[in-house]
Amino acid sequence: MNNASSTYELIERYLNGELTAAEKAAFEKRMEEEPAFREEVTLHRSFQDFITDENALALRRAMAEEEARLPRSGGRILSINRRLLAVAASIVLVVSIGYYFFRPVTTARDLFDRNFAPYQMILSSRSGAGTDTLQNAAINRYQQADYERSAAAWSQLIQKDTNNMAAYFYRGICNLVLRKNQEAREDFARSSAHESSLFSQQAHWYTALSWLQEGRKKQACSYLTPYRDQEYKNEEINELLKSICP
Amino acid sequence: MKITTIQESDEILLSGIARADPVEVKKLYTDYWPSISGYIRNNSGTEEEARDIFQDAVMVVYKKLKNEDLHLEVPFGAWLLAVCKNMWLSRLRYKKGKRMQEVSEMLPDPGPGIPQQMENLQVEKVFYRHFENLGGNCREILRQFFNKVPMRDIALAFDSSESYIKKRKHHCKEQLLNAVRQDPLYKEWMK
Repeated sequence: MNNASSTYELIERYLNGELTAAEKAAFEKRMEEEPAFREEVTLHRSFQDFITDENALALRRAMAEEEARLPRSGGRILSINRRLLAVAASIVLVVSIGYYFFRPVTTARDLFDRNFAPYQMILSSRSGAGTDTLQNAAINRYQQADYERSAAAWSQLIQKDTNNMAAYFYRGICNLVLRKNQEAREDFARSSAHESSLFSQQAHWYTALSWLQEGRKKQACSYLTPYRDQEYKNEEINELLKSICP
Repeated sequence: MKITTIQESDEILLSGIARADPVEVKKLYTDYWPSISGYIRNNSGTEEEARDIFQDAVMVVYKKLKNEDLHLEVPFGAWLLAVCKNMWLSRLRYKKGKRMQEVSEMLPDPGPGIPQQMENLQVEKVFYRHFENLGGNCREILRQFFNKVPMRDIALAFDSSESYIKKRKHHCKEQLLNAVRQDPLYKEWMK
């Protein structure tokens, strides 16, 4: 058992009231003396509060679904006087800075369009039967930009091997093209589940793009910020963060 | 669950919120979202900010229901609007240089404990966002494990061994906690 694992287990036993009196006393003394440890315990407690409240989780999901159905009604509403003021200001702006007035607002969707391109196919077709034939079909459909059928073939491959990271990743790209953003995010999360995965950095990039395609800059910002130092698309990530983080 | 309302329809709606009933959640959005969104967007807010405030307010309602701490002396819609207005005004005060249409308006006090609840809700929100980004298998293992489903049953459901599930549970939890630790909102809260 490694260090992190044993610390996690110790904290869980404390939170579940499973420590002996002596262990509990030592644990609480450590919390008093080590602020970082105290912080860690707070984090675990928050996690347990979150994960054990199943109705709260279901409520958040139900609200997210309702929100997805709401029509987008745009930004702030200006009152009449402020609107007149805005018109007057606009005229001044048109006269004084011309071009700049007409610069388009960069929406999340613009940023998505500017940054998104399906990931290149790095797998090669193989001669063989069964799984190989299926993988060849998935690859060929992908290269022909037939993303719906390619996704179906990747799904069959996943059914045969639930640890096929490449299949999750490329199905994620297909889902992103098909605007199935939530499904795409789930696929990218699976494809980057292991640090050693060939596609984890790419998956971070495309997950952020899925939020942008949904028009949600804030989520894209908060998701992508921890990965600002990664190698893949490093320059693009930092450029994008400048546009989406307040 | 013990709640006090002055309208029977409010009681039905609130019971629905407490058990996350999608039908009542839909009704909540149909009946109250337009006025609350309109208020916030009329007062310097964006649609995204309105969504945030609305969700936070509903979660406050949920927490109050869970703690049996919701006693309404006005119709629920009026109470919810007051909570949203208070939340929005606090947020505006926090953001410098914003002007409000109704800055001098006296709002009814929605009840004690809301600031503390808000703080917990922000952390919960960070957890929720990153939890939804985990793979389906990770989400399910964590959910079942921490809701005391026996390890043997989880292993059976995932057609694998108990030792694999134990390792996977640790890996998934670590992945989630790392994402939360690095989240700017969480860091701000920890300051």
